[in-house]
Amino acid sequence: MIEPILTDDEFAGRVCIVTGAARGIGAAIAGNLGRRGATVVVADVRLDGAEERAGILTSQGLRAEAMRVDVSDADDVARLVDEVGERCGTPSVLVNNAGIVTVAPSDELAVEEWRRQVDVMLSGTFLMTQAVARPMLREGGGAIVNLSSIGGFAGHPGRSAYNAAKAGISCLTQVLGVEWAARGIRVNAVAPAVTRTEMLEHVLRTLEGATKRGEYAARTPMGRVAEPEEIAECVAFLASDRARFVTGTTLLIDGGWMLGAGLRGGDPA
Amino acid sequence: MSSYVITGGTDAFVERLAAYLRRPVLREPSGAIDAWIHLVPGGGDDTQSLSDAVAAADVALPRGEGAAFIAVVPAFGVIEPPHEEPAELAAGAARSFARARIERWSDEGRRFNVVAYGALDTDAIPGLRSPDVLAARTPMHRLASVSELADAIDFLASSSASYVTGSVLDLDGGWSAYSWFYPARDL
Repeated sequence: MIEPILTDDEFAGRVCIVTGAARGIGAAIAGNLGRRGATVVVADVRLDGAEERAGILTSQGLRAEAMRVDVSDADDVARLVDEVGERCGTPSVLVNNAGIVTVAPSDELAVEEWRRQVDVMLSGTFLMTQAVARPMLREGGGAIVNLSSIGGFAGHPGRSAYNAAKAGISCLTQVLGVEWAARGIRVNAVAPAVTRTEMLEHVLRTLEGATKRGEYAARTPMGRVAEPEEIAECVAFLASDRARFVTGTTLLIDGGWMLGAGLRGGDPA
Repeated sequence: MSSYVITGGTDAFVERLAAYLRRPVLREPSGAIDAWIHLVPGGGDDTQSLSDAVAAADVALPRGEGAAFIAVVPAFGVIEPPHEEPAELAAGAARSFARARIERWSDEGRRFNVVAYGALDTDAIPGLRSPDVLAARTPMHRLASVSELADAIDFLASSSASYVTGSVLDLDGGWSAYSWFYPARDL
C-alpha cells in the first residue's frame, strides 16, 4: 500500500463539524481532520463528552471546539449552526456521524426505540445537513459525509430501526448529492462494517450475548473488525478536494463483509 | 521504488493517467508492485482482457501487504452504443471477480476494488460519449479530469483504504446516483 494521499494541511483554514464526536468513529474522524489542519467542531449530545474529546485534541496542539447538540431537534440544530458561525466561521465540511443502536426482536421493539433511532440517525442527518447547507450554498459550497452502514444494504436480525435508518441515509445521500451537485455541495456516505468502538461493546452486552466478539472477525473476509481510524481515513478522503468529482455515493468500508458469502464464522471458539 | 502495473486501456490513455499517478507505471509486472490497475475498455473482448489481467495479477501481486487490484470501469451508460456491450459486460464482470475472489484474496492479504468512472475528459477511451452529452447528463455538469481519476486510484492503493476491499468507488459527479430526466436538472 502506498502512503495516504491527503497532506498534513489538507483541511487547513476549514471549519469541519463532526456529530457524535465524543467517542468511537466520530472521535477518530475529529482527530483525523484536526491533524490535517481543520478547526474541528466536536459536537455531541453530551457536552461533557464533547469537552473531554476537544480537550484531548487541543492538548495535541489541534484546533477543536466542543459544542452540544441533539441532532434530532431542529431548533437545537439551528442553534448549533449559528454558534459554529459565530465562534468558528462558515463550515465547509459536515460529518453526520451521530448514531445509536438498540438490538431487539422486531415484534417486541418499543415504538419509542424505533422513533429514537430513526430520529437520531435519519432525521438527524437530514436536519444537520439542511441547516449547514444553507450557509454552504451561500458561501461557495462544501462537502458532507454521512455515516451509513453495511446494515443499510442487508438484513441483520433484531436491527430493524438501525438498518432502515442507515438505508435511508444512503438514499438521502443520493438525493442530496444530485440535487446540490451543480451548486457546490458534495454529499457522500461511508458504510462501515463492524468497527472496534463502544457501540460494538454495547451490542455484545445485549440479548444476553447473542452475538459474540469473535464471530464478527470470523465472519469478515479480512478476518478482523475495522479500526476507527480506518473509517476516518476514508471519511477524510471523501471530505477532501481529492474527491471533488465524487458525489451521491456510498463507499463500503467493510473488509469484504458484503461480498463474502458469509459461510465463515458462527463458531466463536 | 515500487510500481503500479496498468493493463487494458489504450496506450494514449495509460500515458495520460500515468502522468498523475503517485507511482511509476509499468505495462508488465517487474519488481515490487503496489497495485495492479486494469482499464476498461481497451477495445476487443473486454471481459477476456479483464480475466487475463486478474489471472496475471494473481501470480504477480504480492501477498500479505494489502496490495490492490483496481478495476477501472465505465459507469452504466457512459460508453456509446454500439460499443457499450463489451464494456458493460466487463464492468459487471469486475464486480463478479471481486465477489469470487474476496475470501481467498483477503486471506492472502490482497484487496480487490473497482473505480466506476462517469464523464471523463479524455478522447483516449474508445466509444466514450461526446463531452457535451456526458456533461449534460452529469449532475455536476462537468467532466472529470484524468488527474481526478488518478486521485481515486491512488486513494484505493493507499493505506487510507486498508479496510476497503470488494468496494466500488463511483467517480462520476453524481451520474450513477441520478435517476431523473435528461439533461440533468436539480429540481
